[in-house]
This record gives sequence, structure tokens and C-alpha cells, in this order.
Amino acid sequence: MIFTAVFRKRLYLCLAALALVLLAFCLPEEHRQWLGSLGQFLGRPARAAAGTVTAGAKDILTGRKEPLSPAEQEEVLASLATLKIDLAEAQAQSQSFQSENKQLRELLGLVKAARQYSFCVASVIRRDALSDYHATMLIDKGTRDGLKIGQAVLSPAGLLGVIKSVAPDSAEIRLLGHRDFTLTCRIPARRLTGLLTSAPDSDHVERPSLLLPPSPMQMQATSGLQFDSGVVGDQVVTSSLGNEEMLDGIIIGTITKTDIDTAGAPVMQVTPAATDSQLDFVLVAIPAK
Amino acid sequence: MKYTLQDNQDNPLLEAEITFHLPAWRRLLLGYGGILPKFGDLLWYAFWLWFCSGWQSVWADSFPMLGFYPLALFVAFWSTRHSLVGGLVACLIGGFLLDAGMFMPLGSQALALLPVAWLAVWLEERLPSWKFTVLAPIVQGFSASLLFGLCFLLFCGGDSDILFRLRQFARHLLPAALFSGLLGAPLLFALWGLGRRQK
Repeated sequence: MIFTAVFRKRLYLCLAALALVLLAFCLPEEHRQWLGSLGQFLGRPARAAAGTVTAGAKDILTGRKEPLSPAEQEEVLASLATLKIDLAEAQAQSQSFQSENKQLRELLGLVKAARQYSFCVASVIRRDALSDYHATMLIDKGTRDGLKIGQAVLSPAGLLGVIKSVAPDSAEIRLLGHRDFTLTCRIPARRLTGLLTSAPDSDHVERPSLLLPPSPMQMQATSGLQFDSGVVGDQVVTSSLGNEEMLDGIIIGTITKTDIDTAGAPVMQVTPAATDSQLDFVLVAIPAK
Repeated sequence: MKYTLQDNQDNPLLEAEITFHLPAWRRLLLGYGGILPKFGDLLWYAFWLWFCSGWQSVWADSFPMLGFYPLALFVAFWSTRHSLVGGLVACLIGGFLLDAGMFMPLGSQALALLPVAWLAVWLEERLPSWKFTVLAPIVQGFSASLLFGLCFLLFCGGDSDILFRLRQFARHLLPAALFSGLLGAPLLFALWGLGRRQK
């Protein structure tokens, strides 16, 4: 019964159609592309008409106006692109704010910890990136905020420099990397006092100052016997002996190398604890009245 | 009109008479199975084939979660109410149009439509008493949509694994088949009502 003439005829028809479909799979790629393009061309009006009908049905069912006209679509796409750009900018700004917030929180913690001095938070408003990036910087606080020459400028990690000159609304900072930087300092663990100076520039002639950290400090002896006891790893802090505006006990760095100069005095190389690269805010230590 | 070929003595050598039979011409052009009705059928067939292929390719743009396969319904309708050959041709041409519109490999949806035509004819023969009842278009719409969806998942599923396809079957295809059955009923009734000839 299953192999009646009608069944056979239908079977042959279906097999022929199947063969045609399989033939379509076996066509060369360029012919398939050509047929696809032809199909898209022929079917485009049908899709447009059917799309109108379907959108109308959706309007009826959902009450929404659809689809948008090409001009409206362009407008929506333009708005979307603008919003994406705004979002990217906002995200970048948010990251910047988060970084600033973290930095300010650290500074605030330092302010709260200090008792005998008040701290003034200042933003860095100018650094000469090409020539003396590690030598000087300008901050946005001055005499109106109580700043004076010789006061310590620091970050949460340690000393950055001292105020060299001050104006009503700004102050210039001489950083540890400045070639003329000198400061009285001490090694609390050894009860030693010395003079901190910058290492000679001749060590860094070939290196760009922009990308380098502050050059190592040198602590020179005034009394050979006392400095004999300084060893690598000792911490060096500021001393108020040479300057009454200087806060006592700010960490400068640690001794990384000891040597004897030509005159027989001990010389110790100090690596600063604070880096002055990429600073946005600094603290100025103002002695309490 | 009578034409005669004569010699010199007016003897008729050849006589021919042409008669214009208007009823016969009318039957040839306009009668049942005539040229114009066949041409009209062809236009009607081409229009619905063209429209249903476009409809099926854009339906998901407006109703992505609601499956509806008008071309499968059209194939089922034409295979049962007109001829299997027409249904198979609809599978091929409509499938190619659909593939081109949906940027799929040429022939994949035609392959998925072929069993639909076969199933429609098979169901029509097994359920002769349903042929002119309201159940017939519902069953045809449901079965055509279900089979097409299954074949689509089978032939056009891409790299998705079998579990993903089964999940699609449960979540998407069964509701789609039910919806197609319900929506296919008025559509198939409309097609049957508009069709000039009944099998």
C-alpha cells in the first residue's frame, strides 16, 4: 500500500526537490553569493511590506509607535553615540576622582595623626616637566594660608622638599632632587645628626631628568666618629635644629650605601622614601603657634 | 469566414472556413482551468510566496520571543489545497528568499521546509474528515510550525550543542507552534477562501 503510484510520484518529487536543495549547497561560492544578492534584491520589497504589516500589528497590540523613521533612527543613533562618549568621559573622570579621593584620604589621615603641627593640603599647579621636574614645583597655597619659607612639604610616604619662596597665593617648593638642596637631618636609631645634600649632578648627566626618581641624597659627616656607626637600612628623618619652621621627625628615607670620602669622612647615600612623581596634592607642615 | 481557391473556370480548388466560437474562446481564456485563471493563480501564488517569505524574515524583528512561520503555513496550504509540486517549488524559492533575507547559507531553510510539505500532504490524507473543518487549519498550522522549527534547529542550529537546541525546543518552539496554530487558522482560512480552486 505504501508504494502506490501516487506515493512513488510524491517521493520522486520530494527527492528531486531535495536534490535541488543539495545542489544549492554544492554551488561555487561566487554563484551562491550571486544568488544570495538576487534573493536579497527580490525579497527587499516583501520584507519592507511585511515589516510595515508586522509593525502595525505591534502598534495595535502594544500601543507603541514603531518603527522609527530613518531620520528618527539616525537621531537615536547619534544620541546613542554621544551618550557613549559622555559615558566614557564620565568613567575616566570617575577614575580620576577615585584616585584623588584616595590620595586625599591618605593626606587627611596624616593630618588627623599630627597634633603639634597643622597641615595644609595644597594642589600642585605647575611642574616643569622638561628641565627640573624633580627639582621644583609650584603649589596653590601661599602666605594667606600661613605658609613660610623653610616649611616642610611632604606626602604620606615622607618628605618631598621644603618651601623655597612664597607668594600670597602660591609657593615654590625645592624638592629633594634639587642640586642645591641641603637639610639638617638625623638618624634617630643612632642619635646622629648630619647634613643632607643632593648627590652631584655628574652622576646623571646622560639620563633624562623627566623620567628619573629623585637622585640619592648624601649625608655628610661633621664628626667622623659619630658617623662611623651609621649602617645600611637606618632610617633618616628631618631635624628642626637647623630651621625652626621645619617639622621634626619626618621620614626622609633610608641609608642604602656607606662610604668614606677623600677627606676621610663617612658619606652615606640615602634613598628617599617618598617619590615626587605624579603628585596632585601635597601637605605643608605648619608649626603650631 | 469562408475562403475558396478557384481555377480559371471558377471551379473551387480549395475551400476553408474559419469559424469564431466565442463560448469556446471564453472557456479557454476565462473558464475553469483557463489561461487567465491560471495566470491569476500564478500571480496569486507568487505574491503570497514572496510576501510570506518576507514576512517570516522580519517577524522576529518585532516579536522576537513569539515564533511565527508564515512561509511554512503557506507551503502547507499550497501542498494540500493545490499541488505538492507547487508546495515544493514554494519550499525552494521561498527558502532561498528566506535564506537571502536572513543571511543564512543558501538552501538551509529550503531544506527545513521540504518535510513540511510532505507532512502536510500526509496529514491531509490521514485526516480526510477534517479537511473542511476549523480543526484542519489549526492542526496544519501547529504541525507545520513545529516541524519547520525542529528542522530549523536541526539544519540551521549552527555550532550550538544539542542541549541548547533542546532547551530552545521547550522554551521557544512549542509556544511558537501553538501560536502559529492559532494564528495560522485564520490565515489558512483566508488563503483557502481566497483560493480559486479547491482540490
